[in-house]
Amino acid sequence: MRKAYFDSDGKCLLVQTGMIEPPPDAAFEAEVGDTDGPNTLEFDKAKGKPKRKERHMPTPVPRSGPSVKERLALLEAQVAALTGQ
Amino acid sequence: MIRWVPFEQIGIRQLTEIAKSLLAQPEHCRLDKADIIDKLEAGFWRLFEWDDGLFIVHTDNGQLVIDAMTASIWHRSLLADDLKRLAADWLCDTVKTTVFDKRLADAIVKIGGRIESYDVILPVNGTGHE
Repeated sequence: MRKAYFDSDGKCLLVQTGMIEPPPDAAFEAEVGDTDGPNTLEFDKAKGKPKRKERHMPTPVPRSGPSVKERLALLEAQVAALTGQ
Repeated sequence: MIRWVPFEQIGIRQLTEIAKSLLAQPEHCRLDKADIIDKLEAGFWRLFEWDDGLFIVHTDNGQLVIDAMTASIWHRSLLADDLKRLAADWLCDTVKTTVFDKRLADAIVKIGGRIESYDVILPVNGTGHE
């Protein structure tokens, strides 16, 4: 995973691969190729390092109805019922 | 008017119609049930339904392929319009089907298509003598 870090003016400070601490003057981070836009980094003043702010994750939409296997079983049952087997 | 049914919404009603369509196909070229479910789940094939039936379609190199279809009440002009719209949406200039239904062939002709071939299935007596 390649990440880019930007300062508060939007200037790119660093592009790196792997889990490395962001530069101390970074204000935003973004995954290369991520179309959702950069995340804001919040500074942890006590440590003097930026800390990651969790991205707001969309609420997963629960899948309704039967699973793939259950649908296949239902289809087979319907075929069997229609053929009288 | 047809409506697209996402995989998550495919339930017993649609599965019953798919089963009917499968049984309308000759056994030698009948679609595989697991294959249908897999392709619908993956989004390669799409299921559309209307009030009294459905059809399953996919596209293949500019062809709109009808894999399955059922209908109890037949509205040829409505189906023809729907097919035309789908083909246009997906930039298809040909409709291909293995569904053995003359009514569907009529609808394809209505939108300017032509029938290039029919498979004719004859029951054959196993003994060869009658």
